[in-house]
Amino acid sequence: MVTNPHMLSLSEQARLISEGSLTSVELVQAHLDQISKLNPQLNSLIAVDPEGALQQAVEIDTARAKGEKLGPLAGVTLGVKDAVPVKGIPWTINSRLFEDRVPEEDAPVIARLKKSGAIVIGKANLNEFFSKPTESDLNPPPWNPWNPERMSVGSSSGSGAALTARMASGTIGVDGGGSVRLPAGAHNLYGIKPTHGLVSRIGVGRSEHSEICPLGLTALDTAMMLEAMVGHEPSDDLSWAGEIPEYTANIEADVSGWRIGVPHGFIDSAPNEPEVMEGFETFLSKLEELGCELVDIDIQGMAEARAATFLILFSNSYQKHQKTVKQDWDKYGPQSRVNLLQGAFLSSTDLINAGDVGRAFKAYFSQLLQDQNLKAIATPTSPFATAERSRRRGEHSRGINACYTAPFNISGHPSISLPAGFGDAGIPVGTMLTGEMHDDLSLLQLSHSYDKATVWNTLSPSI
Amino acid sequence: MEYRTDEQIIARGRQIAPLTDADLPPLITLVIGVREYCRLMESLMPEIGCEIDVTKMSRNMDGDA
Repeated sequence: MVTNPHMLSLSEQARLISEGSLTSVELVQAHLDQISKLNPQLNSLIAVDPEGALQQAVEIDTARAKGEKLGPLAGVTLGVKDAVPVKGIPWTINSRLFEDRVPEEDAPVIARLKKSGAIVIGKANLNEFFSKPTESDLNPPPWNPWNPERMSVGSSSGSGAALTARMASGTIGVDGGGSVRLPAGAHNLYGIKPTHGLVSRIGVGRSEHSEICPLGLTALDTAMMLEAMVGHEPSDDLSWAGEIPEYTANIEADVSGWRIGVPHGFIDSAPNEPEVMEGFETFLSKLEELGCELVDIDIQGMAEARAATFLILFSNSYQKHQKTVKQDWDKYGPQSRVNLLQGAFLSSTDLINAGDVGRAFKAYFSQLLQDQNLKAIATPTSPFATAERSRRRGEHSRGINACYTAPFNISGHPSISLPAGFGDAGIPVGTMLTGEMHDDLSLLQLSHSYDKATVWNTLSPSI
Repeated sequence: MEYRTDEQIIARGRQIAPLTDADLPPLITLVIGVREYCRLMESLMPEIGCEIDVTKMSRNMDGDA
């Protein structure tokens, strides 16, 4: 009998289930108990499917008892950001506009996760249409389990909070400008935005630079989920059809001698809070202990690439909502409806300019990595240690919270947030590695080495 | 970006959505930010026949050289 199985990492849970030391029913029930206990306080999940989850768990336990081959995620549970459709579970994007919508099909990425044996236990809270959270959203914002008096950073806020509160084995988010990496950083989690095109975005509206991403308690958990999510989708013209390495089989690596670029000049120009820099310096020290060579680099174009990412996001958002904002204005929250209009003020030339700048930055950044023989660059994930600070009007409207994350949405480079300590408010701070296109494996290897050398994944909030 | 004054922003906003008076200040603030982003993009556009010169891109968070 495994006690408190919900407190284990996803990889441990999967191993115990495959060995028969833990049943999927026991794990699902432990997560459901955790949801009953904590979700009323935290608002992490906005839909839960206990009957469906238990039924799938019974099927997996039965299959195992019969000696059938199980998938690598067999029997573990997932919380999925409510921007991604899951068959039979409400799909609201936290908006009154879609209050009664229930999808009849899974998004392709969800179908892949289920095929690997994962069980979707519920849908995670988020900011309405990825905007700023308000109490007038369909569901009020989630609270950070590390300090339940503080909001969770979004927009995949519920995904970060639900995993931290051990309501699921892993969670899925969507990152359009940092919306997975930022909550991963603020919840002591790993969250990777994979190379553009590795994971099909069908189901979330095909926004050009938003990626569906896994969040995990450990780097290995994150790699296991990503491995189940990647793959070519013929119906998705943006989906990558090339070869993809096995992440989990190759995750152990000797990272000594790996060159990591540190753009000190750019980092010093951001309004980093002291605890963010303290965590970042500790992270760099750990990389050196692992044998990595830190290289001071000069980087250009981060501000322009961030701006280009947001211009295209604004345009995509307005394009999707152009009819409904006229017809159903009052059904939108007061924050999201105004945010959604920004794209209506752009000209076609503005958009083409943004696309050109994004492509130029993409080529430049790949060349930078190549010229300096870098495996990755290291930055903080956010300059801010709390959601409240990042949402101050001036900061948010200038996108400063995303100054490290958003440039790599338009460029498409893989980027992972890792735990790096805690700020004064008890909220975790994150740090970030960004690498070459289609070298997601190196980021996972480096993160796994760091994970094994640090204590962050052994910590859990005292709620 | 052709919307340069508050009046132009409000007029465009009222064309596309039934804005309330409370919606206007945040919308104006946001559009001013969008306009700054557009200017940043425009500043990088090259002469005809040339590519974007990445050496002219900024080195700091505010988009300064």
